[in-house]
Amino acid sequence: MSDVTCDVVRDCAADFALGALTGRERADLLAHLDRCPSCQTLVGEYAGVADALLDLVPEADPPNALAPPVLATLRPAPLRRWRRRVVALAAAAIVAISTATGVTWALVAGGDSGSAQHAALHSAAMVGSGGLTVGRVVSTEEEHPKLAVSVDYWVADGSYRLQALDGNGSSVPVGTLQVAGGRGTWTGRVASGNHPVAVTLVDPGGSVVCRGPLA
Amino acid sequence: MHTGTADPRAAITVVTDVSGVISTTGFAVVLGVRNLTDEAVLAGFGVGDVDAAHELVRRFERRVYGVAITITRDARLAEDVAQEAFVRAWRHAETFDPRRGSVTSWLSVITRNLAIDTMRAQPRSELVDPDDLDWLSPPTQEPNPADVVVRASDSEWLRGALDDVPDEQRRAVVLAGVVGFTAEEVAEREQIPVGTAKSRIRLAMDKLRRAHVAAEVRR
Repeated sequence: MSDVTCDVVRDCAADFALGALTGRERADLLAHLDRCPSCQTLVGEYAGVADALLDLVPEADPPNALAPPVLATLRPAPLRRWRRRVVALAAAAIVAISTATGVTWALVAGGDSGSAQHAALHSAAMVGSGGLTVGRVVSTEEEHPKLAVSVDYWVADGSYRLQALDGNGSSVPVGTLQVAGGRGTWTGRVASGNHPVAVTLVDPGGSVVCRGPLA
Repeated sequence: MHTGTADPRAAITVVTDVSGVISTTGFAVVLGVRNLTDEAVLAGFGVGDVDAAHELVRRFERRVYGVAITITRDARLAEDVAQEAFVRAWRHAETFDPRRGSVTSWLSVITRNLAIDTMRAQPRSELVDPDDLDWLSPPTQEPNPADVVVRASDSEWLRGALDDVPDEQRRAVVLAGVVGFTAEEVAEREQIPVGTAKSRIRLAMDKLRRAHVAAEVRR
């Protein structure tokens, strides 16, 4: 299956979605999907069926509560993980604080607040036309800040330029945010040394779709 | 300006930039974890928030265990699988993409794959009996209202579409898609040639795919 064509994908897309292909076949098909949007769509449709089949399985009460053993497994590790997971927290914060506004979050790198390194997180709503909240932006407070931007409402599907505005009024492109199914996220670092005072999402026509103030 | 108190459990300090009202701990506590979306709870779980972990398990343990027990048919194995599914979800929470599906589906797939792997290590005689698929029929118990919403919006099309699929195709696709049978195993269980088993699975998948697309268009 090294020369995978669209015909081949059509023939084995169902098997792919059901996890019935060998590792090699799967890798070859994925390579084709990387460059073929129409086959991505087809495989996505089959994958939707495979996922939905599991929704039919009835729920059941476990004989014993699952939380204690799960937490016992996880407890020692998360505190270690914090030190290298600022971006992860920023992404978490985006979805976590969708109802909160104007709050600054500080991530402490360990349990000891007296000696811990920390990076503040700024969070704000992404606001579109008419003052409508369409998503969130979170940034770290450092020289080349990390940004996590999400939109989940009102913004049409498509590709948008993400720009960071500094205090001098100039804008710096920081990336491209893809919106699909009404949702999109972008995480990355601002190359400019200046901390942005706002981020904007700009459509292909150059119009600002929404803006998130960070100052 | 960062005047809050660190909570070593959640490792987050929250300070206010305006009123100084917020005083404490992890995001789940501050915002009321039960009010958060599934995606937010998973994100908190992924970064080690204990309250989010409790909430995620509370919300999904019946779903995860249900998938596990359906495939393994063994309470002890199912419990092990369900626990491991949550641990795996924690490890890979960052890879969850809400554009590709719900947290429920994501956890179900993780659980299914773990359960299938577990069953592959068991004697073949312990594989699920294909006649024991009565859950394909409409539920007889009064369902949880929240489940009704999910079922109605997400899976109603599938139940309807499955009703239109011939019995032998339906059994083949469920065995393959849920229980993880290979085409060869479906053939052996159904006592049909492997080619016929593959045909049944693909025909059923194609019919269900068309129904899925039609349901998406109607939304």
